[in-house]
Amino acid sequence: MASAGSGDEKAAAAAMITLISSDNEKFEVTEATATLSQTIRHMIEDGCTDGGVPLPNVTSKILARVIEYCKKHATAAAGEEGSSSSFSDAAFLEVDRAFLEELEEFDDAFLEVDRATLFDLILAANYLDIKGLLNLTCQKVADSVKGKTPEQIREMYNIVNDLTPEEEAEIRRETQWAFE
Amino acid sequence: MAPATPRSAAGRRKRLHTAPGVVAPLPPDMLSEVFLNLPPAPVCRFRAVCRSWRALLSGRAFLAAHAARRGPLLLAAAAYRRRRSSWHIDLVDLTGAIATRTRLPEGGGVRELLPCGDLACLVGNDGRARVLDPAAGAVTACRRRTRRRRAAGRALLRLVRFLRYAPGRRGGQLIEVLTVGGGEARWRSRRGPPFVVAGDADYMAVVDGVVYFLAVMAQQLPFAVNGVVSGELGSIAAFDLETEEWMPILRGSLSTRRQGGNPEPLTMLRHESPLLTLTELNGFLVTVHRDRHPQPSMDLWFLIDSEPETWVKNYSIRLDLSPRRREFSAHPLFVDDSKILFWVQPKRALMVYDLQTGSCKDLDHINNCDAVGLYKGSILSPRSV
Repeated sequence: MASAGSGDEKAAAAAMITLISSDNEKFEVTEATATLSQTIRHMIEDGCTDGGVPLPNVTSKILARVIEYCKKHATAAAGEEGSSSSFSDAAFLEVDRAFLEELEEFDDAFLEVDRATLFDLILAANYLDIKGLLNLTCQKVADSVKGKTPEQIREMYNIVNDLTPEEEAEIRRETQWAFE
Repeated sequence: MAPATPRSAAGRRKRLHTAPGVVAPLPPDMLSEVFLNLPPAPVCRFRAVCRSWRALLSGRAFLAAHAARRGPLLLAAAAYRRRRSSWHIDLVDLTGAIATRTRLPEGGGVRELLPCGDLACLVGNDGRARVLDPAAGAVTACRRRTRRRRAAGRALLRLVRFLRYAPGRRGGQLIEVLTVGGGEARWRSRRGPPFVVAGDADYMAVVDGVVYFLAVMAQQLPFAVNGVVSGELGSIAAFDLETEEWMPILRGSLSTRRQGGNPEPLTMLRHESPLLTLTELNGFLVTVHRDRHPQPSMDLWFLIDSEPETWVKNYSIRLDLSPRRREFSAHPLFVDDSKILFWVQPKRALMVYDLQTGSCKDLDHINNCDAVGLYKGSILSPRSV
């Protein structure tokens, strides 16, 4: 970090924010962790975080997971800033790569959840506006369905087919290549 | 204290057409977010799930966002590793994910690949032309003469025109226009260009229904008709595919560059490492100038207006090609805010130039193709047959 203003930054890094889940559980997190959420970042900028941040759309179970993600990725972001400024030799890049691999492993393990939890994570990531988490979870869902047929999708998600046979046949005809 | 307005209100958690299930479905805006991560085939396939999915996956906004997220699609032709006489053409994105694969008829091969709209024209090693419809996975052979009999396969209803040049019988030049329509594809000869043009893909470009040819045959230039000079080095001839007439000759960016006090770099153009080539980028006609001295560089000049003819140097990059790595020429295929995509010959590699850092990287997962072109069609759009 730069020398000028480092005192302020340290103070900011140490500042704690209280997040309150829909079931009224309180979570203490550092500002660096909390501001991965653009929604919370804006609230901090507007100075309305005293007394805790109520998150009526997020349960404690999901909020705990979201915080776990943010903690890991906040460290990653801090590490990146530090490395790109003055170091660029091979050894440092090696460390960077190891760290990125570790982060990838973390993400993979993080996504090992049931479908309901995954959906709740998507909704929370969207509500809290955490781009990385939203992309990660959406990609996971996309990967889990991309090889399926329409019939399999309907079964997976309990979707009722309200297309007429004619409409369905037309959809298939329009992009025949995608059904082969 | 109320929280800041979230992007998705809880009230929008609207149920799609579902029977009561264990898992509550995602609201439409989140579904759309998930769908943006899908490859092209499931996007089309999932339209057949239910009405609301069809509406979501066919919407113009969604399709535009999906195309932006996915980036450009390329047509990449390659021979199968085991049997060199068997070829296939893939529609592939920059991550190497293949959207469609079309097998070519035995023995044809691909010498040139000219994308045009949803289709592409292939010129085989046997000199024969074929029309490729990558979305349908169909290849139509072109016949020299009109035949009454309808060609086999699916009828291509759109009229598409390609153009190539051919040496005339008496030493002059002719061009040939390929017309595809009504299940038939055929070449017809038309009057030759106003000066001698090179037929290589590096010296021609198609923009908005006009085919442009760059004057690079130094030994034939300047070219005069009735004592009036009509073309000199860097001039550009233009052929309108609609009217099938030659249009007024463009001076080319070289003249603008000369006025800017740039030294004349063009000692030899017809070389395996050309210093001046022509391409199309984002709907603009673009000339590509390469310099080796004082340092290896490349300038991209865009024709931003034709009346009066106005060329603007939009990109000037440092591009280090290494002949040792068999990098003699780099042909720009695509440009956006962050990168320029090059096709490097004779290495046969796709290379990405990062506009922010100035660094180059080979796209290893799409290498070893024999011909590459940027796909201009929209594979996700529903098409009537």
